[in-house]
Amino acid sequence: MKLKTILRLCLMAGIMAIMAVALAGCGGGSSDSGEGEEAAADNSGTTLKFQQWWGAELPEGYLDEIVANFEAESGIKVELLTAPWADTKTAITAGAANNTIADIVSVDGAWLAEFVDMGILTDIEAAGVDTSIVGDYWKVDGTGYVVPVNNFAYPMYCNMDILEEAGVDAIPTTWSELLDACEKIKAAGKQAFALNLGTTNANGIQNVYGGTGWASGITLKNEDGAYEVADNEGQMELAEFFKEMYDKGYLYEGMATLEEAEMTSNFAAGNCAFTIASAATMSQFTDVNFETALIPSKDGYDGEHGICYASWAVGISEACENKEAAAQFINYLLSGADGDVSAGLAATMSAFPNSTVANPDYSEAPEQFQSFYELYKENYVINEYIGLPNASDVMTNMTNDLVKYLEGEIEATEMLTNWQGYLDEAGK
Amino acid sequence: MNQLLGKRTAPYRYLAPTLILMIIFLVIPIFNVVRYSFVDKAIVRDDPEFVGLDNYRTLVADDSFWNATGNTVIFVIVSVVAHLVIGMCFAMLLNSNYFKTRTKTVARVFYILPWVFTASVVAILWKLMLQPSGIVNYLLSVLPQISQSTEWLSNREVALAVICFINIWCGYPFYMISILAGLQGISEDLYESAAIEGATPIKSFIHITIPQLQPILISIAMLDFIWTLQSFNVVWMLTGGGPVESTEMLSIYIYKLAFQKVDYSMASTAATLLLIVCVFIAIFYVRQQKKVRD
Repeated sequence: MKLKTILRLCLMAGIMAIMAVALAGCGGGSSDSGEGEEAAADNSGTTLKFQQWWGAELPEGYLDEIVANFEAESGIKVELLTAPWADTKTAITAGAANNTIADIVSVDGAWLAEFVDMGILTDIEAAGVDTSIVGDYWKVDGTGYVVPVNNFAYPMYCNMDILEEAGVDAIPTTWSELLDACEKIKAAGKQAFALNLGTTNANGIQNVYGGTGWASGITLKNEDGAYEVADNEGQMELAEFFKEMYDKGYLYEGMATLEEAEMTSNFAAGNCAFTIASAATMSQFTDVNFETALIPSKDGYDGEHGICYASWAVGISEACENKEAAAQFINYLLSGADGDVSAGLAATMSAFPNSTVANPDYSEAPEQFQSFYELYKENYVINEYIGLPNASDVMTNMTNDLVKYLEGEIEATEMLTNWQGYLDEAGK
Repeated sequence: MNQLLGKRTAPYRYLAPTLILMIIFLVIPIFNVVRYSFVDKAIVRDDPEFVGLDNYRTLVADDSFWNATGNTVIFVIVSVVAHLVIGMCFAMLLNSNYFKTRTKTVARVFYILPWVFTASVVAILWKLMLQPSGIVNYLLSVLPQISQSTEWLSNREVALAVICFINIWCGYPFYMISILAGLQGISEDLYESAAIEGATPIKSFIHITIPQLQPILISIAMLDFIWTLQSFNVVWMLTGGGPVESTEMLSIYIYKLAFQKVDYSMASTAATLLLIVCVFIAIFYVRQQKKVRD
């Protein structure tokens, strides 16, 4: 055999060896960290990784200060892995695939079922998270996996200058009042109501459309907790209400590709009279004369108003080798310094704490936020998409059908039947 | 012996760093994507099940896949043809003797501007201009019979055409520059001889300019075909594939499968098909380049 041939064979063997080693590294080896592994009595030297998007949204250094104080108190070091919200899901999924997942992960409600299905999350109660001090924690099949730290409620923002210019005397509280107000606003040459149906992040179906339904007690689920949409009279009324809004030209132009961020920036620019958005966005509306209110309810409805919410929530990864320390950090977020950590996070982000021991000081918050806080306490929060398998995909499909319905391509019954199909098929 | 061995192995040692990098960053990822397309629940399960061609069968039975394929075909063909025609027109304009050198220089800078903008700038710029209350509708409002509030990006009837237009706008300068370089390389003698023989400008264009530019035209068209096939950023930022999937390209379809549906197996299946198409075009491109060299 010639030397050249030998060298070629050696090179090929080398390439194959490198590929084999690399592929073995890419393969999903199972974690050998046992759940019952004893936590070290002395925490010094323990380091936890915390994957989240909070640091990108909080004031610079705020989260670093929390983890520094926690380290001083407990000896446990927490390393922050911060990415924008849009990249966090990918980071967690990729981390789970190659066994580099962080110990503590922040979770959006729409990701919960997928993460549980993938075996990413562990039982937080078994790990030691104190669920007795929270208003709510998220379960799948009876096991608690994620606990919210902050809840962000979704009020309806009203541009009072536009209302005044259009001759609308009071903020509408019912659907018929909202229709009347929109008619006057349209007649005044202004945009009335924003419904974001863009599918880059299809959350308008949840926050605006679903939020309007929840405000009138219209839900996707029946009393048994099963999704029941196809023969749901309330859903039919809700669909017809939005169809009327669309047909009469009350919905913000360009809604079919309108994204949440565009919707809030349009409100901030004074381009729209009514917008439903997170209370956390209130700080953007510095140049607008606005008020916050509950979303108008169906005429004749006198029950409590469901308020749509989203959360900053945390869970512990199954691969975490020190789950007790991770639970200790989560407990610190919820109850540290007599609840001040949770309270501080809530007050800083115009959010509401999930911790029952937190007493946030909203005295520095905008007046509109304080007034909405009173409404928040009198009513209840709801989000039926939390824990829904493949929530992002389901919401995208539902959004596409809603656009078709509003534009007259399909009937409401067909849309609701389709929705039922998506909800039934989710996760199968 | 050592000296001989060292001499013989020298080329391989020089190649080794590149080969190692290519294996790590190219061969292994591609191999993994192809592998994922044959298993169920890739990445999300420790023990994904081998399903043979099931994913491919599921994919070709999916209406959304064919919708995305149709949109991609229209988008690519319209973009490449328009790029070629517009690029050729501007290149010939800049190569003509009707303008002074200074005018040509200014025009060249002006024409190339769309190409130097990043995708995010292009998307934000056009999104603002095409808003229902944006400047485009405002300018059109002075014309009779034109609606003042056309929803350019939110109307399913026109959204794909608008996306094609924006892609053409930001892609033609590449053709213009490449063709201009080719035009400047064509000998004036050819045109002079043709003129003496009585050839019209159109005949000169067909029988001299086009044949002379043919290698360049085929090369840039092939490259553009591959780039446009993979277009993601501008479309994603402008419409996200909406309204109702009317601007959904294969790249967006794959992205949504992977990162919205967390179905990496199906995403890999679609990506593998796209890869096969790109490989065929790449082989054609390489052969074309080889022919030019020969």
